[in-house]
Amino acid sequence: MLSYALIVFFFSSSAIIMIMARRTKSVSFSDSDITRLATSISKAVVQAIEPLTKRGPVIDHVSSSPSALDIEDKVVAMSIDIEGLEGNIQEQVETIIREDAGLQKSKSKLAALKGKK
Amino acid sequence: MPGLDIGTSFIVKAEESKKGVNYTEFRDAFYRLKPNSVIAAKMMEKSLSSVAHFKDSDGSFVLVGYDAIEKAVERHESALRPMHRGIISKREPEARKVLKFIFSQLLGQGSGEKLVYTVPAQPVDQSGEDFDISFHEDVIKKDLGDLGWQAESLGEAEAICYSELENDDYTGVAISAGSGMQNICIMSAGDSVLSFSSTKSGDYVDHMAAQSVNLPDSEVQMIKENTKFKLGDQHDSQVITALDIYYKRLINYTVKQISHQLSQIDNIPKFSKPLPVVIAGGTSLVDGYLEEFEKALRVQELPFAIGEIRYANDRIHAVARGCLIASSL
Repeated sequence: MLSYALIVFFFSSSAIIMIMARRTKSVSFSDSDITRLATSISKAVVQAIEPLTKRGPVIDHVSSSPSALDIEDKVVAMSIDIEGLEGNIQEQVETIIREDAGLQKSKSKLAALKGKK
Repeated sequence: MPGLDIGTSFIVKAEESKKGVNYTEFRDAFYRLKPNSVIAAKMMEKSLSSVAHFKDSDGSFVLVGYDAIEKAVERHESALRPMHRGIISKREPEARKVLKFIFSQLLGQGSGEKLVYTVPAQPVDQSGEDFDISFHEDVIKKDLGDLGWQAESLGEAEAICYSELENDDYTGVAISAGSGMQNICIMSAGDSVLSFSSTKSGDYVDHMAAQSVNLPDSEVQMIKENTKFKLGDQHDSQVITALDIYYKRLINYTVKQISHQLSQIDNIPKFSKPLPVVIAGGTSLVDGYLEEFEKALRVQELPFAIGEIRYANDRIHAVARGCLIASSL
């Protein structure tokens, strides 16, 4: 950011000095000189701000995730204490009982499938 | 050994009992009331005696569950969610505390028993830096561990496969149309071949419809849940018309994501039979969802044939049932 500001400041000052000099007729600059200067300024500005505006390619999800160790550290550091909280939500809890004859069959079939692998 | 479906809108616990499976549901919404004075605090406490809430350490009252939504609607505001788009909300600093409190009330103190809980798959429409599933997964594991449970995670759509694809030899496609996300899993003989999610689902429908009729999201959500309507029908209500439009947009978006993701994968197995597609989740409860989904999916180019497209036996509880089955393995 600082380098960007310095470059802009340097070129802006140069441009102002050249234009002022031309106006006071103390130094003679042609139109092509001014155009060249303007082109240089634009190029320098673009180069300076490029890293600020350009986002890198989208990294795949796995590699961009924080490492397991980082996550573990973060999680440990963020312990949540709910000991002091008073209250009860049981009146809002709805329990539905569903008969499910297929549950045991599903469990054993999946267990057998996983066991083969 | 319970199973726990941690959704953006509901948390559902599934536990085996002699009579079958006990499903315990809780709406994960909250709304904070901060009294201005000691007298106001006492009055507030009295007025909330029949409302599910807890008193926070700063003296404020945190309403939880359906009561939070009702109170928010009463005050022309939206209730807050501890979860946003399938993971712990970064927008709410108190989200984790609220969730942990709900877990403690729903599950009680464990003594090292196994518990399988759901996590969403990595979304394909968000970058990894903006949307960190791993952190969510580990935070939940830790909080459940603090409550005495040996918690193991399972993909949300994978849980539907375990619950619903028994007669298809655990081969097929499962879609969990939740509030915050659509989770998709393609399973081959009990193994997940491809899992991903997209971050547009029921909340997107509510939010966009609310924007278009200039109402709070919670109010639109309540209208949606308390009005009977079918997708594709003519509707007199502006809200229902907006909901209809955005449901169809959501369905189209989801099937296009499925088609696009499958086109990016080279090693999709050569399935010998057309794959069944099972849809579950609260967002699929609206009448006509399956018909609209089928219409949109059948015209997509996919690397395998699609067989029957059907709802899960119990669309609300299929994920929790899958977790319960997985917890026994």
